[in-house]
Amino acid sequence: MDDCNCKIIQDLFSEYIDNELNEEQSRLVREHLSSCEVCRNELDKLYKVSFLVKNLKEDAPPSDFLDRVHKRIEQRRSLERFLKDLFSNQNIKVPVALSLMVLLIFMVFKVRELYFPGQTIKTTQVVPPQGDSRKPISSSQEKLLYMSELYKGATSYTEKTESSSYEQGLSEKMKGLVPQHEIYGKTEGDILEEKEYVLIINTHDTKSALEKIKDILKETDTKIISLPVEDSKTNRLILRIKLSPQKLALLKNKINEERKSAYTSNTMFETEHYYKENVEDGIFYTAPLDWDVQIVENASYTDNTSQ
Amino acid sequence: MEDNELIDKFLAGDKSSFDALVSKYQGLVFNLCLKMLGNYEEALDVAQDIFLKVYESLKFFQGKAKFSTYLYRITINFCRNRLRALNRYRKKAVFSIDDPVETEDGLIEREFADKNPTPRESWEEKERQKAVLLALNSLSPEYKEVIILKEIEGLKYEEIASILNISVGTVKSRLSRARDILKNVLKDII
Repeated sequence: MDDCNCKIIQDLFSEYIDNELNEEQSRLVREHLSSCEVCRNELDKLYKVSFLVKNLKEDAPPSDFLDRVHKRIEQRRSLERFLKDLFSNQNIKVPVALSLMVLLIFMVFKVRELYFPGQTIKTTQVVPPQGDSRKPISSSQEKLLYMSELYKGATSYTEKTESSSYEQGLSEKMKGLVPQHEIYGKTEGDILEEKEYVLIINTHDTKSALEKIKDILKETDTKIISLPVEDSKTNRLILRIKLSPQKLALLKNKINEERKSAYTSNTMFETEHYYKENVEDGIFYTAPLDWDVQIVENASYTDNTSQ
Repeated sequence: MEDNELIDKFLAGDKSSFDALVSKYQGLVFNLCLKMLGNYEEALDVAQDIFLKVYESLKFFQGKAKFSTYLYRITINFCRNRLRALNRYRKKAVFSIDDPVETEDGLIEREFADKNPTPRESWEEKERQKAVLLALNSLSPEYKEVIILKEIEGLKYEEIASILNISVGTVKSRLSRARDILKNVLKDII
């Protein structure tokens, strides 16, 4: 019972020391305090804390503070005047200003492309058409075994969203405020340094996917450093590639372009189309290219097919 | 002269009235910034920006609230923005428990410059101040704001509520919580 009271009373302490309790509440508190040492101690601590904060030293602003404010006002005024002149003069200044702005915006985008290696490949839901007609099972068991050997010892599979850490790290780097080596361990050279990735394409048609991806990889100067593995059980095409993060951005863009462009697949599904909802931008588009693509940094990939 | 009078005169074209307002409130604004931001240079910078803002927007000031309330509001907002900006670009908190609170040593030096405490008192007092400042800086912005406005500025609950645009009930609970935290953080020296 007493503990209960103490809790209630202590909840009132903050207002009590500010003299914000009404008569009735104050009386209750005082009554309780007269017979409760625990609460008296707590209240005492509260008074001390309040006292400590109240008595923090104040500091005066510099004596020329007013002058500084005047200076700032002047600076703002002259900026405004400059801008006014710029936009009121009909002759050359306006087109010059405007074209400078356009140039600036253009450059910003170019720099963004260069430093922020693009979006992740979006993973999307594939709604298979009615009457799912699987292609004949190819003999990829042997290939699977070979690949499991290759990936043995790799740590568990995670999908990385590289762009966000890049974006964060590099935008800070560009502000010059964070030492380079602190940015997730990446340095400037890393954008151009070639790294190994695992490219995984989930698709019903792994054969044509292989053809297509080979073309794309060739276009983007990407090295394929493993035998492609087609796993018909999980409908996956897996290969290891090597390219620089900078090129990776281009590769992702190209893949996305491929996925978006519509064409009918003649090989298996004739005129049947897949409907796919791009979850991220809410776009509905038809794309028989049911590619669900993941590109993972090599070190963090493990082959799940053994499960 | 009353604030409203000064404002009217300024809006009528008398620049010296603005100067009078600055002189009257520069200490308040600067100290508030200093406590909120914990850094002399930042506080100085923001304080100047605040008065620039006042200069430009006084013509929109309708006099419904007190000028001081209006000034407090601007100050709190500017400090919040600056804190957010500072945190974003520095990745770690502006104040780390390991660094001594940056200029507080400097501040405390200044304060004791023309007094003559015994060396022992001076050191103890400095350490205590440092501890309290660190504790204050460890609070998250919402708690820091109410504590500073209550303890240092001595404002009533209603005014704090008005400045921060929250209910009185919220002021009460935040204050209570903030004080509990400080009680805990400073338990060694109380």
